[in-house]
Amino acid sequence: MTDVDEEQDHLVRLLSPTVHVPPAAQAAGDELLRDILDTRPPTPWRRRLLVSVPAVAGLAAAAIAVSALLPTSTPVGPAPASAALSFTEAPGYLIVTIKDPAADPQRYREELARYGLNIKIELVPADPEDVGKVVFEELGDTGGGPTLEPIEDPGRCTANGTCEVGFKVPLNFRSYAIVAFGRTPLPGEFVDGGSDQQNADAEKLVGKRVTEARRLLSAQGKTAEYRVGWKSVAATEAQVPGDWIVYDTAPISNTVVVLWVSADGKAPDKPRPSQSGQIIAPSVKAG
Amino acid sequence: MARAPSAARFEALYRDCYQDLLGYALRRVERPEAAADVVADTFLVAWRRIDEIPDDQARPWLFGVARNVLANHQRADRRRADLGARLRRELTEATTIEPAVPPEIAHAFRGLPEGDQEVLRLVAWEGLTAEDLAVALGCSVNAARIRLHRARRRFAEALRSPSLTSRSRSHRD
Repeated sequence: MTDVDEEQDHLVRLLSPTVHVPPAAQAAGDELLRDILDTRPPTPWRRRLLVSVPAVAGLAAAAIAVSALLPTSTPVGPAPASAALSFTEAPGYLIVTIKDPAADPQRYREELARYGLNIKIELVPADPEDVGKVVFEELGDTGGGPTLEPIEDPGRCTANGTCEVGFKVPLNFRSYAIVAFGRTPLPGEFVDGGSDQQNADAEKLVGKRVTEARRLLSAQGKTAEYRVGWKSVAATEAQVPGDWIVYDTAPISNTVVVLWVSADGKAPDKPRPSQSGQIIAPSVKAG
Repeated sequence: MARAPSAARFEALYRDCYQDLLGYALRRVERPEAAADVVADTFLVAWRRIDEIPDDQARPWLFGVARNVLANHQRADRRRADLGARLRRELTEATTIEPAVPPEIAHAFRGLPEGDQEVLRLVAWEGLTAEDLAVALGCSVNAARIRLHRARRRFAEALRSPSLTSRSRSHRD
């Protein structure tokens, strides 16, 4: 960086507004953290969708969760003869909502391809409240060009959810997108994030020693995976002492439960830099 | 409810960056309470994509998400969920004080294309390096350096050019 650059940065810094944040915002921030952790956790299925993150982020944010226009008891079965998607043309746009969340996804693709749009619709097993709703979106890099916008049904949002029931595509959209809608799971099919019952069963292992948790899982015909340390690193059964204690759990399939374990049964803290080593935004002041 | 994979990592990231993200949002929104939505949505995206966040560049990655979230909020200022409701209430008490700077500097800066302004802000206000900038902008480090260089050059030209300054003033005021 040259002196001229430094001088410029100094001038730009002068333009930064000073923000006074009430102390209560810190507590509100802690509450927000808890609320986010209470939303559906990331899953292997979501991680599989690798995306150009900055391009997708706004859209993903718009898809926080959902509320259905569609019946939650839609059966999975042969696709009916009617259209799978509803297309409404507006000037320069195409509005797409799902009419039949049980149809063969290939039909959605064909209908979208007729409009020259490279958009793939996926259907994934979901909890009843998410059936017919957008549960995930991936957007290719648009280079700042036209992009998808969510269609929402604000009257039916859930507490932690978004309300996205479809999307609006500019007709000159030239990137690609993958939009996943929730569908009713098949009998015995694992629902992303686990069913309430599976989560409740897994929760009962919290506070138990590893040997006991193993015995209980085995009695249910299940096995465990282990995560240790503040970075939640995977560990093998042989690496985890039997007297360690489970502090968190998550079902990841019908037969596998992830156990977070530590010697004292508490979630490990990240090693923190000293107070003086922390970087505080220069123009944000508490009080 | 069982906590999710990587919950500990997310919590550490949240605690490290909450203050910075809140400051980032507050300096860019008109109503302080709107910053709550930006912070909530940004961290929700981070939670959903926790495994994609680069270990050593989580902070600029979050700014990259926040930029898109902010653009989305500005396109359609709508409420999506109750997430962040308390933070929104608390932030109604937040105050933003515009700095007292010579008007020609502010006019020269505001006359720049929005993209240039944000690149310069990310470096000067958020302390991002060129490498960080690449993460936040979703481009190569080389491209980030070029964008920063061009933004600096245009800002320097604007500062030197009274006519440009007065033109931008007449457009904006």
